[in-house]
Amino acid sequence: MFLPLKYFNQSGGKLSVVLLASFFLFATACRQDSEEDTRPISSGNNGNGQDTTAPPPDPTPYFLEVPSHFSIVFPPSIPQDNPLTNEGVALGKKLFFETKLSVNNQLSCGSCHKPQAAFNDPGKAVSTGVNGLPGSRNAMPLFNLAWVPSFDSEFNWNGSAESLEEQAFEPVRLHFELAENWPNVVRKLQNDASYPRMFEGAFGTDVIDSNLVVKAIAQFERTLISGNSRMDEYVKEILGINPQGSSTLTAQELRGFNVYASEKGDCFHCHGNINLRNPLWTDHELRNNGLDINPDSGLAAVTGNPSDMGKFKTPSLRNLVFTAPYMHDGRFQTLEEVVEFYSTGVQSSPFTDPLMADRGSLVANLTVQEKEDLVAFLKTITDSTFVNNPDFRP
Amino acid sequence: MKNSSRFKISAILFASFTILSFAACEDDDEPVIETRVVQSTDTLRVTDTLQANLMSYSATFRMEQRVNGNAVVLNTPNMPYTNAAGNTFMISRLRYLISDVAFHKADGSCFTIDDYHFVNLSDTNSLTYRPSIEVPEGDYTGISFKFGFDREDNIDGAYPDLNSASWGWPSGIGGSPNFGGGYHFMQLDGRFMDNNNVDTTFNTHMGTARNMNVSPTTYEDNHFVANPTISTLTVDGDFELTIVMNVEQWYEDPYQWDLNMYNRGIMGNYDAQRKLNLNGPSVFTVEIL
Repeated sequence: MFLPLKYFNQSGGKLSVVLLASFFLFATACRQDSEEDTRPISSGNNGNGQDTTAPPPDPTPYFLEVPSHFSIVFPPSIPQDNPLTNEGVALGKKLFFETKLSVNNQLSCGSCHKPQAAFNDPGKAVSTGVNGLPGSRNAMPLFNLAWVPSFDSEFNWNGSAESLEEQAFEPVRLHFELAENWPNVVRKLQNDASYPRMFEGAFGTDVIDSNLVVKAIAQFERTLISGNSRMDEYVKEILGINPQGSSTLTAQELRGFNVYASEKGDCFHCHGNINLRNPLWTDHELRNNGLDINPDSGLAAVTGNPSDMGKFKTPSLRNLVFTAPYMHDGRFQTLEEVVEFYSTGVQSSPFTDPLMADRGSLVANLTVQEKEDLVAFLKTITDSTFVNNPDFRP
Repeated sequence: MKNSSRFKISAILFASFTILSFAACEDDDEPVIETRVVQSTDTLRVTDTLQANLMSYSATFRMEQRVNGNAVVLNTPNMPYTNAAGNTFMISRLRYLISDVAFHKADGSCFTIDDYHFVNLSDTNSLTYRPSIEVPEGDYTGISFKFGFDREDNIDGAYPDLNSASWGWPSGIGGSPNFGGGYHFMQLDGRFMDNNNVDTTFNTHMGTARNMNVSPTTYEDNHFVANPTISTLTVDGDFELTIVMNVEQWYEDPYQWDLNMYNRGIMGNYDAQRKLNLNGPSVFTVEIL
């Protein structure tokens, strides 16, 4: 064999060496909103009584703790121009829950991406913005975002953002989300007692601009790692990381996985992890899964290519118990409804992804038992420690 | 549009691996001559000879995909391609795997790049393959590579990049001699007009062939060795080759493949898998740049 698994296991899941190396390549990207800049004039004093003539201390590289069994996939992808630092992550977390990002200072990113719901907006098909207006898509859960592959680096349901940093620009400006403009956000943060000091610690400057804001938020988002479910424990046992007999999956749950991985169920082509070798539970691609004969535009709104009609991001199957309702428009209230759709409801259209029929037909026609087993299996990928992690709370 | 940081991280890892490998060779004072024999299931025997004191040069392979001479375009709104059976079709996705590219000399010896490369037509980075292993100088009269993995290398879960790409082959189809099902060799997905003039999907997926016609069920290594014809290649500096997949050949020679017969759900279909294996060797051509 060529690059044996053990080679990647040598790090024991600790990829800090590579990540630290990229830290020293840190460079500030071109600012996208220079015309919106509201930076104050700075001349040795930042307005908060702090002397800025002394060089700022270097930020401390952040140690990204990667679950050991994640070593069977590619390492996390951290942009060279936005390495993770303790100061940057802390700042990003504060900004993620900062209501000053909204026009009326009442909503933050965390208002619709709640930590206790795997950073989803539970129970809501679409979230409600500051003006009481409904959003256009279901709030996506946030975890394991550092593993989105570089060639498929597309965020949002329809892939409209090319990076986490770019994605973070949008909600502030959208009138049905935070409805603020970036100059106002920067002004509010600049005048805050704590932010200039935190930006200086994270980025070496107390002069705030929107690029640094989204960089910090993206840093925090990349630390949101979920890899501690009962299924993860099972995988670790299979890989020899955990002792034999240590996992606790029931016979029904294992039957459900077999449905998932079977030619009949054929969930694996899109959600991955066939033979338990991809703990992300998605291939990150955008595809039309046959929800509608006349689909929502999806990726086509971004690319202008009609063949991209109805293509949306393939979501991870992790933490589904926290993230109902399901699909990009939140049309399905329960996992049972989702499974029933794939069993009997997939629509044929010129836009439906051919992979949807690789089981031999568009619909799986699962038995009642198979559907129950499949739902039981899906619930095993539930990471309660993630949603209760105090590091991810405001 | 694309973020390249993942590749930069992998490049760091790969560079580290390569440097360590070559450093180990350099520690030897004596010239290293390593000979080993690789036995493939296609009964091709090749001898690898590595003469360490030769100059060696880097190879770059341009991976191109064509249908009837035209570059493959994904997700066309119409069905621009036609196979030998007369099926008109379009392609929505094309991913495949090659391994063990070998350069053959007239005396029967060859140098093998012990490596693999995953091609995803949607990922432009994957259309250029630059192995870290360099090719010794000399005149080469042939080139070959394996399509997919041979049994030795088709180890379930062993390759993180392929795991990330959800490239696994189900263990129920791949058997368990190596703990699981191994990997896909190809995913060629698209749509075609069937005999009833209905727009229909197809998934030409290839991997280990499960034979349920015998008892007990057997799982057959299904890779093949491609030996495209080339004129003599003189390696006296860095060089480039273009490896061309001529997609129509999957459906043509020697077995004329009708998408009405084999379209979806063929992963567990033994006859379909073996026919792909038979048709595969004529799929590839190589152009020396």
